[in-house]
Order: sequence, then structure tokens, then C-alpha cells
Amino acid sequence: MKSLENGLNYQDLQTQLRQKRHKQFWTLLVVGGSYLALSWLLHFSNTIGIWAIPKSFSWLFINFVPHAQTMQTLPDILSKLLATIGLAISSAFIAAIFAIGLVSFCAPVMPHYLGVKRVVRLIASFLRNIPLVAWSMLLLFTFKQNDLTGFLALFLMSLGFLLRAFLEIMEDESSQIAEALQVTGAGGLVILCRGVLPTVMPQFVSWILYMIENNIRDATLVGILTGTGIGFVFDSYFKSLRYDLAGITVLCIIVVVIALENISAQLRRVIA
Amino acid sequence: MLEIKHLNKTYKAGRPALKDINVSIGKGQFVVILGPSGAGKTTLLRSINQLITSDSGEIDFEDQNLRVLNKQQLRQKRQRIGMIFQNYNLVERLTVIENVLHGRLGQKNLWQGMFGVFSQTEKQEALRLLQEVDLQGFELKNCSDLSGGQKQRVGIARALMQHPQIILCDEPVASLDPASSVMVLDLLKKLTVEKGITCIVNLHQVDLALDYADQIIGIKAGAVQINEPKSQVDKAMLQALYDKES
Ligand SMILES: Nc1ncnc2c1ncn2[C@@H]1O[C@H](COP(=O)(O)OP(=O)(O)O)[C@@H](O)[C@H]1O
Ligand SMILES: [Mg+2]
Repeated sequence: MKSLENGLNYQDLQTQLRQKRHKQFWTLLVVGGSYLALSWLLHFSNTIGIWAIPKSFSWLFINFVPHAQTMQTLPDILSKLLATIGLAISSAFIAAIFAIGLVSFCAPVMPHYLGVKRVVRLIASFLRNIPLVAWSMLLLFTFKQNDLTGFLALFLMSLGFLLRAFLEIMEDESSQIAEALQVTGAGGLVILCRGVLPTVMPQFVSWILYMIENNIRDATLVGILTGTGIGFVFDSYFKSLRYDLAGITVLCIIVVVIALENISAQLRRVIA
Repeated sequence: MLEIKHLNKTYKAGRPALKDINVSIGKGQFVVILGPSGAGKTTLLRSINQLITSDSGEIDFEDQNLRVLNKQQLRQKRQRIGMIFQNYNLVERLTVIENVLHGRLGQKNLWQGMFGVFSQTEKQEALRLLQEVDLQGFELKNCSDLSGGQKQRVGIARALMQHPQIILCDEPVASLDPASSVMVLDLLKKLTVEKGITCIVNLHQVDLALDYADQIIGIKAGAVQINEPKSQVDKAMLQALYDKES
């Protein structure tokens, strides 16, 4: 509506489009250029890189195929997998609760308590810009190898990610409904609970589901570092050259991830 | 019942959006604000219920200047001024009846408001209002399943739930097809006649304005150029309002 009322004319449109094309061109040039420059710097030959791919696949195929003996260890693998799923879900869930709490302060109708909004934004980008591996390493020094380390790493990462996503949704979706309830004379908290949160919640839930999927993959990686869960299982099989067991572990992870993606797709359809 | 005196508003220095606005609006009037895009119609309307903070002047409603009220007093007064929006501004995921009940949130205490606790009387009133706007049978539908015209009528029912003296309408039919537009404007007109509610409506369709208005306010470049009962407004005045030259 805005563009209609302000009367975006043909000239403006053309200029906008041209600017956008220029931007795309330069982005492509910069990204492509830096890629080439970097690979030259690192003495990385593109051709060799590409030819190595089929070779590694055949190696994978020969070594990672499970056989009858492999199946005996399956219960052990599954129990570790279950623990990892639990870790992934709980970290995403608790991060979601914290994120919803923090982002509520940023709703348009909430009073500006001493720059709380800016603090929340800062927390989000701080958490978001430290990679998961770095979190795990940092936490390893403090908490040593145990489940808490893995949980905290996933929790902090999820919190940063969800905060950023929620802040954006809040900004885009909540101002109109907030205004509509403001004119009835309702106060900030009431508007938040009755108008803003019901409006943004379906999208929030969608991101939380995504976070859970993502955390299952990441929990594996974190497990390798922190020596817990399915990641640890995979790591120890791999290092002891039991590639068949490592293979079945990966297979289990893939099955779970795919199953979970399907479940959340179903859930999304229900809430949408 | 509503007196606007010497109202000024400037967003960007040197380009005032409202210049010394003086208008007086009577009870039960259907007032249409006309003017070219960017004239200041939205700014004027939203200054009335303080969604926009104006720079100087007075907005007198029920013996009080809305511009100088504290937060608590303003919330009290806002309950008496409903508003409907071009994009309806409903909670789409909630049901029609829940959205209508939202009109009462200003009158609730904190806990009732937060948890959406409404009395039987309030619920019965909401149902009655839905009949009034011809939406019986839609009470438990999600608002996302309604057409634009139906959503706007939910918006009107929500505003009525406030027991307002005034309803402010910023381009209420700009997103609607002609048939729905007529239905919505008929409904607003009926409210002015039957309930004595004052409707202040921003429109960009001159023909609709002439069909419905009791009073026409023409704004151009932030200043009032027409302020007359409809019978006093002629074609030349309207042409001058939209003329880019004069
Ligand atoms: N939030 C804002 N910030 C700066 N300028 C604004 C803002 N809102 C409106 N304006 C300007 O004020 C003038 C009046 O706008 P508006 O009241 O929306 O006009 P109308 O509703 O009649 O189209 C326009 O020049 C517009 O660009
Ligand atoms: Mg406008």
C-alpha cells in the first residue's frame, strides 16, 4: 500500500531495479574474486579438489557398509542417540523460553526500560556471532567433558539464533496489532499477551521446530568435542577404525533427522 | 463534542505536516476528511487519539485536552474513541469473537486483561454486536478465514465493544472491493444515525464522501482548505482541493 500511496513511478522503479542489478553484479564479482584469490593463496587446486570427490565416495561405500555383526551394537548406539535427541530438544526448548522472555521486552508497546531493547539486541548478535565450536571449546575449559557442556553450548547458540529470528518477526508483525489494542486503552502487558504474542507465536513455533532439527545435527558435532552422546560414539568407533559401526551410527542419525524434519513439517501444517 | 484548535505537527523541520488545524465536530456526525495523498489526513486522524504526538494546539474531547493527559488518563479517554484500520489490524489467528472482545481490554484490570477473562454480559454483548454487523455464524471462525469486508466488520464490532463516542477510520475501505466498501460505509453511517456515534473517516474517493458525509473537511499540504457541511461543498471546491497548481 505504501508504494501505491507514495506513488512509486516508473522512473524510480527503473532506478531501483538498476541499482539492485549493479549490487548483485558487484557482490558476485567480489565473492567470486575472493574465492579465486583465496584458493590461489592456499595452493588449493580446483581440479584436484573435484576429482577427489568420487574417490572418497567409493572409499566411504566400501568401508562404511554395516554387516551382520554391526547390528549387535545397535541398542547401545540407539540409547546414546536418544540421549542426544533429548539434549537437542531440551536445549532448543529452554532457549526458546528465554528468547520469548527477552524478545517480549522489545514489543512495540513495552516501555523503554533503560535501553533494555538495545541490550537484548546486543546479546543476540554476541551469541549469534560466536560459532558453536568456539562455544564448546570455551565451555570445555570451564565444565570439562560432560553433558552440561554440550547442553550449554547448544543452549547459547540456539538462544542467539532464536533471539535474532524472533526480533525480526516482532519488528515486522507486531506494530499493527499493538496499535489496534492500544487504542482500546489497554496497557503494555495486556497488549503483549492478547495481541502481540498470539500474532507472532505461529512463526516463533516454526523457528523453534527448525532449531530442534538443527540441534540434533549440531549435538552430534558437539558430542564429538565434549565426549558425550552419539557424537562421542561415532568418534570412538571412527578412531578405532570400526568404520562399519561408525557407518551405522551415521545412518541412525540421518534417519532421526529425516524423521524429525517430517514431524515438524506436519506440525507446521497444523499450526499454519 | 470534539474541538481541534491550532493543531501543529512537523515531522521534518521545514515541512510541516499539519498547519494550524482548527475544526469542530458535532455528535453523531459523519465527517469525511478528503485531500490528496500526503496532505496530512492520516496525521490528523492519529493525532486525535494520540497515536501521533502533535507539537502544539488543543484536542478537546469531553471537557479535556487530550494532548496534555498523563498515561493513565489517556488510556481512560482512549476507551471512548474507537478506531478501525485500512488493514483491519485483527489478531488473525484468533477467532472472530475473541477479536471483538478485545475492544473491552481497556476496561479490564491487569490479570483479567492478560488472561482474556470476560464476563457473561460482555460475551453476550459481543455476540449481539456480531449480529449487528451481520456476522452471525462466524463467531468461532478464525479471522484469517474471513474476506476483507468481513474483517473490517469485525474491526467495527471490536470498536463498538468499547462503547465509543467517536470512531476514527483511516482509509477503512481502501483495501476493499466496491460492494464491501458500500456495506462497511453503510454500517458506519447507521452508527452515526442510530447510536449518535461520531465517525471521522479518511477517504480518497470523492464520490463516496459525497454519498455519506454530513461534514467534509478538505486538507491540502497540511492546512484545512474546506470545512463545511456537505450541502455547502461544490464541485469547484473539490477540484481546487485536488488541483496541483493552486
Ligand atoms: N512517520 C513519519 N515520518 C516523517 N514524515 C511523515 C511520517 N508520516 C507522515 N509523514 C509525512 O507527513 C505528510 C502527511 O502524511 P500523511 O498524514 O500520511 O498524509 P495522508 O494520509 O493525507 O496521505 C507527508 O508529507 C508524509 O510524507
Ligand atoms: Mg493516509
